[in-house]
Amino acid sequence: MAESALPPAHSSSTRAALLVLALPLALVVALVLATMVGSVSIPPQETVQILLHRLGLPGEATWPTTDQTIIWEVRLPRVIAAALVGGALGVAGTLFQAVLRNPLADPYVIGTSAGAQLGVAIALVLPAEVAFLGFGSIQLLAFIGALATVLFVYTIARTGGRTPVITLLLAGFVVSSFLISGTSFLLSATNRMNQVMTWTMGSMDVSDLKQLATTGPLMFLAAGLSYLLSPRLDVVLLGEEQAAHLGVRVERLKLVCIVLASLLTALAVTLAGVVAFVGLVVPHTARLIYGPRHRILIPAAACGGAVFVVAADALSRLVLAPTVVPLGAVTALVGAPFFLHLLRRSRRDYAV
Amino acid sequence: MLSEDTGLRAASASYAYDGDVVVHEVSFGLQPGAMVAIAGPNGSGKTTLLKMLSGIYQPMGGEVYLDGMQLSNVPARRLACRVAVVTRHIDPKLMFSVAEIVAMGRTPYIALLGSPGSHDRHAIREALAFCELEHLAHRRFGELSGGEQQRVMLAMALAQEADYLLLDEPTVHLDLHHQYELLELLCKLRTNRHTGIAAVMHDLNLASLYFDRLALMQAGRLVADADAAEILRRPECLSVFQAPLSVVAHPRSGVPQVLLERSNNSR
Repeated sequence: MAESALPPAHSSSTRAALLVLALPLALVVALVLATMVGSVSIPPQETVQILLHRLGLPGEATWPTTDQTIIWEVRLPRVIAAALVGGALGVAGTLFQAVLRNPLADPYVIGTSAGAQLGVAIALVLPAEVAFLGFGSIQLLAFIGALATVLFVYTIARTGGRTPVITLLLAGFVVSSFLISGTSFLLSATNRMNQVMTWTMGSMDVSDLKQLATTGPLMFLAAGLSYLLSPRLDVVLLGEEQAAHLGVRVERLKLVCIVLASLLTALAVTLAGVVAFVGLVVPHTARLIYGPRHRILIPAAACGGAVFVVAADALSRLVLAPTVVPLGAVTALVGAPFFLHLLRRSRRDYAV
Repeated sequence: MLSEDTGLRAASASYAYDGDVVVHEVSFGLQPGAMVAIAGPNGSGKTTLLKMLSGIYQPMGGEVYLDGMQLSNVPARRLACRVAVVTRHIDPKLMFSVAEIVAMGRTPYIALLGSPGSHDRHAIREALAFCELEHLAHRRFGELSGGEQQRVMLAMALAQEADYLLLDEPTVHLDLHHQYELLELLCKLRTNRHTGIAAVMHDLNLASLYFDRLALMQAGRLVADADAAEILRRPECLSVFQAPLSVVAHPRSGVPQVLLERSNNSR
C-alpha cells in the first residue's frame, strides 16, 4: 500500500527488487545442489544434465538410465518435498507470530506440530477398513490434531485478553511433550517403534511421495490465502484494538489465520514428521532483511523456509554419510540457539 | 442544517467490569465540528466512555448511536469510515515506515481483494501533509520520538477520513512543543474538515485553552457537560478532583487556568 502512496527513494526500491529476486534464485540453486547429494555418487554435471534434459532441453542422454531414475524418481521428489515442508512451516510461523502477537510463536514451539504428529500416528494405527481412505485420513487427522492443539494451548495461555510470551511457551512445551509421548506410546504399542524416531525428530524418509500431488497444491492454496490476508495482518501488528478501530474483525481474522497455519503445519508433518524451529528462524530472518510488511514477508518466508529445509535435508544426508541424521536434529541445532537469542531479547522488551 | 439524529451519541450508557460499575447511565453527544474534552479524576470512567463511543465496548445498559443508528448494528468497516480512534497503546518499536502506517488508515475503504485507488493515495498524502510528516514518510516508526509517533497515529486516523475522531489522552508524555503541535493540529482539523473531536484530557489547562466543551466525570457519572470556561469557574465542579485548587485567568486569552495549591505542612 505504501509505495503506491509515496514512491520510495530509488535506491531502496532497486535494492528491494534485488532482494525479492534473490530468494527464488537461492531456492533454485538449493534445489539443484541438494539433488546432487546422495548415497550413490553421480557427478554434479551429470545431475544438471539430467535435470535439464527432463525439463525439455535438447541434448543426448549419455548417462546410465539408473542415474536418471535415481535423480528423477528418488532425489528430486525428496528435495521438492523438503522445499514444500520448509515453505509451509515458514508461512505457518509468520501467521502464528502475527495473530498471536508473539515473536516466539512457531508451529513446533506452541505444540501444533506435535498435535499434527499424533493425528498422523492415530491414522497410521487405525484398522485397515478406515485407512482405505489412503492419504486422506492421515492429512485430515493431522489437521484436526494441529488445530485442536493450537486452540487448546492458546486458550490456556491467554489471560485477560493478552497472551504473555512465557505462558504460551510453557503451555506449548507441556502440551507438546504430552502429545509426543502419546505418539511414542501409540506407535510402540502397535509395534511401530522404528517409526517413532522418524516422526518425532523429522525426516524426509517418511515421505510418501505419491502425496506430493495433493499436498503441494493444498499448501499453495493455504499460502495463497494467507497472502491475500497480508494487509490485514499488517494492521493487526498495530494492536488488536487499533486494528478493530480500522474496521478489521480481529477475532475472525485470527481464527482464519490459525486454521490456515494449522493446515500448513499438518501438511508439513504428514510429509516429514516434526521439523523443529523452521517457523521461527525463517520469518525472523526474513523480517530482518525485508521488514515487517506481510505482502513481502509471506512469500519471503515461503521461499526462505524452502531453502532452509532443502539445505538442512542435504546436510542431514551429508554430515554422517552414509548415516542419515534426523532432519529435525539439523534444524534444531540451528533453531534452538536462535530461539534462545530471541527469548533473551523478548525478555528485555516485555519485561516478562 | 443537521438533523436531530446527527452525531455520535451515548444514551444512558453504562458499563461494568466484573460487576463493578465504571460508567453509570452517561448521556453524551458529539456533533461534527465540536471539540469536547472528557476530564475527571483517575478511574472516573473516561476511557471506558470513549471505548463505548468507539464501539470497542458494547454498553451493558443504554445504547450508543451513530446518526440515530445503534452502533452495534453498524458494520465494522462502515463504522471505521465514520469514527477514527487514536489509542495510547501502540508498540513503539514497529518497523513499518511512517507512510506504511498512515496508509493503514485506508484499511476500511479497501476490500479484501482490492488495492488502494487514487483517492486512497490522495487521502494518505493529505494526511501526511496535514500532520507535516512528509519529510519523515520513509523513516521507520520505531526510530521516531514519542511526539512524532503520536503525530503519525493522528495522521493515520486522518487518512481514515472519519467524521468523528476520538483520542485517549493524546498529550500525555509529550513535551510542551509536541503538546502545542498536536492541539493546534486538532483545531485545524476541526476548522478545515469539520471533524467532531472528543479527547480524554488529564490536563485541565489544555482542555480549557483548546476545547470548547468540557465533559466532567466523577465515579462513573457525568457531573457536568458544558462550556469549558464555565465549568472550571464553578467551585463545586473542581471539587471532584479532591485537591486544593486556584483558578486564574490566562494572561492572554482570559480562559480559566487551574493551579494546584501547596499545603502549609509541606513547606
